[in-house]
Parts: sequence; C-alpha cells; structure tokens
Amino acid sequence: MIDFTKDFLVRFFPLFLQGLKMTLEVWVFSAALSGFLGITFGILTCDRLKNVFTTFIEIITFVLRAVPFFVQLLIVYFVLPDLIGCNLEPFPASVIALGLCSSGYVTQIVRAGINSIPSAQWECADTLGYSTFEILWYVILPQMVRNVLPAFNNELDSLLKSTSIVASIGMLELTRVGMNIVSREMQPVPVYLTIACFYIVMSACLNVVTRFLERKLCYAKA
Amino acid sequence: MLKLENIELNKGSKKILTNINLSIPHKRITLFLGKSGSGKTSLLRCIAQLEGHYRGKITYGGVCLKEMARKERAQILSFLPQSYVLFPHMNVLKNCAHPMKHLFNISQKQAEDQAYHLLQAFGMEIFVNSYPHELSGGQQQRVAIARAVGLRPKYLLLDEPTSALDPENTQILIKILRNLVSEQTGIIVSSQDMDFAEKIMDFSIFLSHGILTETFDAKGDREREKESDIFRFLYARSTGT
Repeated sequence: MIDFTKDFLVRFFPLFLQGLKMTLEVWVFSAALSGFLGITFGILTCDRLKNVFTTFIEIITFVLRAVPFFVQLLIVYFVLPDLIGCNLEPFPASVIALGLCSSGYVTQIVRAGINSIPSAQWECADTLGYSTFEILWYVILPQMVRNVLPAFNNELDSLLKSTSIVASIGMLELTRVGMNIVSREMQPVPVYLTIACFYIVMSACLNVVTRFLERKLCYAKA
Repeated sequence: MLKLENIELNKGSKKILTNINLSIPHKRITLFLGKSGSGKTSLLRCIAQLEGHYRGKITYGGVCLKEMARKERAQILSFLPQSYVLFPHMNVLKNCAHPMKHLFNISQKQAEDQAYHLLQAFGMEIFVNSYPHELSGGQQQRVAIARAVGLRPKYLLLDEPTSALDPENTQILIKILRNLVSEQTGIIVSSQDMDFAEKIMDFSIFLSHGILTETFDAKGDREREKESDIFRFLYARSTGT
C-alpha cells in the first residue's frame, strides 16, 4: 500500500507542483490587491481622518464582509462580465473576488490598528510640523503594522485557504488539480491527504515569516 | 509676543473656555494654574492648534496661528502632551533627528549630528541608541524636550510636565526650563503641582471654570500676594483649606 502510494505520488508530483504554483500566484496577487484596498480604506475610515468618503467606504466594506466569498466569486465571474461587457478569465476573476472579499476584513484590521495608537502621537507629530501624510507614513503606520501583524497573519492564512474555492470556476490550482486526478484515478485518500499537507506547509511558512517579522519589529518587549 | 483674543471653546453644549484675553510674554515662564477641569490643558491645546474649533484669534507677531502652515507653526511653538510623546518605534537619536530633517530639509547626517549635540546638552547622549520604553519617565521627557527644542520654537508648551516625575527629576526639569528661558525660549506650562509652580513662578494666570480670573506677574505684583487667588491656591496645602 505504502509503495503504491509512493509511486502514485511521484507520478503526479509535477501536476501538484503546477497546481501549487497557480495557488501561490492567486494568493500573492489577491493579497496585494486586498492589502492595497484594505490599507487605503482603513486609513480613510479611521477616527482621526473621517471624511466625506468614510460612510460610503464603511457600507462597501460591510457588504464585502456580509456576502459569502463563494457568492462573491460567482458574482465577479458570471455577473460582472455582463455589467462591464467584456469577458473575464478565471484568473483575474479569482484575484479580484479574493482581493475584494479579503479587503473588507483588512479594512477593519487597519482601522482598529490605527485607532489603537494614542492620540498624543498624532498631536506630537502635528506640532513637530509633519503633514498628515508624513504623520501616517513615519509615525502611525509603522506602529500600526507591528500591532496588527498577528491579525494580518490570520487574514493571509484564511485568504490562502479561500484560494481552494476558486477551483469551482475552473482555476487549475492545487485543489482543482487534486479533484481532476481523483476523478481519473479514483484514489481520493492519498490525493486529498497530500493536498492537505501542501496547505499545512504553506501555512507554516507564512507563520514562520510572521513570527520573524514580529521579532524584527519588536521595539518594546515590555 | 503671543496674543490671545476672545478665546472660546465649547464641547457639545459644555463651555470649556470663556472669553480669554491674554498676552503671553516671550523669554519668560508663563504658568497656567487652576484646579483640574478648569481648562488649563484646553487652553494649551488651543494655543497649539490641536483644538480645531475654538473661536477667537491667536496671533504671533500679528500673524494668525490658525492660518499658518504646519511647518511654519512648528517653528513658533512646540507642544508636549502629558504622556506618550516619543515615537516608540524610533530610537532616541532618530526621535530627535527625524523631525529636524523634515522641517529644515537637511541631510540625515546633519540632522543626527545636531540631534546628538542637543542630547548632549541635556545629558542624554548615552541613550542615543536606546528605545523610549527603555528610559524612565524623566529621561523620556528630557528627550522629548530636546526634540522640541531642536526645532528652535519661540515657545515651548508643556502640559502637566511634573505629573509623572519624582522630586529629583522635577528639580532637573526646573533647571532645564530656566536654561531655555535664558536661551530666549518662552515657556508655557500648565500645572497643579504646587511645589513646582512655586519654584518657577514668574508670570502666572489663574483659570476657574474656563474663565481667566487673575494674572499675576512676579516681577511687579508682589504687594498683591495677600489677596491673590493664585497665592491662596499655591498655599492651600499648607493651611489645609
């Protein structure tokens, strides 16, 4: 049995690697999109910088968090092309759907992270002559990032696992590759267990990186 | 000369400051006295332009502070809140050098050199590589004052600077403030620490429920001491009233 499994896995390993590559690509691009949107929205909705867009952004991010990811994916893949009148390939559709969905959560993380910084920090920087952008860039965001690293880690982790859902629109990522092999070879046990291991390894790497960053950015051990 | 004209501040329906008119002398220590809740901190924050919606006019040399760009204002006054003043993610040297580099558009190296000399003047040069959380409250405060002074403001505003200091550090602070005054900086301090207030007493104002009830100039008003609110407040602790 073990020999059989070994041969089996060796035979399909290149396929798994292709799936892995696709999973990583979707993950990295959607994380970039989510990070960009989430940080922008988070800054625009924090208590100190309330503005005309705040309520509007709050409603959008609420909707993004309220609708299940699978439904969002179906909307982006099947409804959006109709609305904008052009075809959307599975890859951009996946990245957009994942990025949007996750940005709703990142917004909340960033907003809470910024709000948790004592207002004296803003005020001091203000009287030292920093512009609002400079205050954010040099004073607030570096502190915010350190405070919310564990929450960012969580979000990236859950984003990684959500990538398996884009298998449903035909993206040939890790999970889809596995499903295809199973439907051909009728061997679900080794295939799905292998896939689970791949996810565990990726998640572990992410955790190691976060821990490293946490230690590196740790200026106050108190 | 810093001039305050008809300063009023409301928070919701609550009146915090009512009709404050005051000229704050340069190159002297101005003391804001009053019980807690009397509006000392609010008045300081108005002067530092941290309360956006006060009414009235605050001018320096005829120019309204409200209409001034932040970078210009930073060279006129610097405000130190009660706590959390240093940037926790920068070491002591960078805390002092970074604002200078930005305000004066000088190189990193120049800013760090200047910051080092400044810290030396405050006896803090051994801590240049430390982070704020590694310093005591008094040390943090000295670094914060050095950082503010580095921008060469005309006025330095301190909110309850002695609230977290032991007597020894208070003594050091008094020495620093006196030095700054002799180096042509105006100091504005709010305080309810009477030992401290008594020692640095120079020009003082007394606030009660947001109203300026008395100004007292130690240089000319000595004979009024007996009937002064300020003195009644100062000596309340010894008479037990």
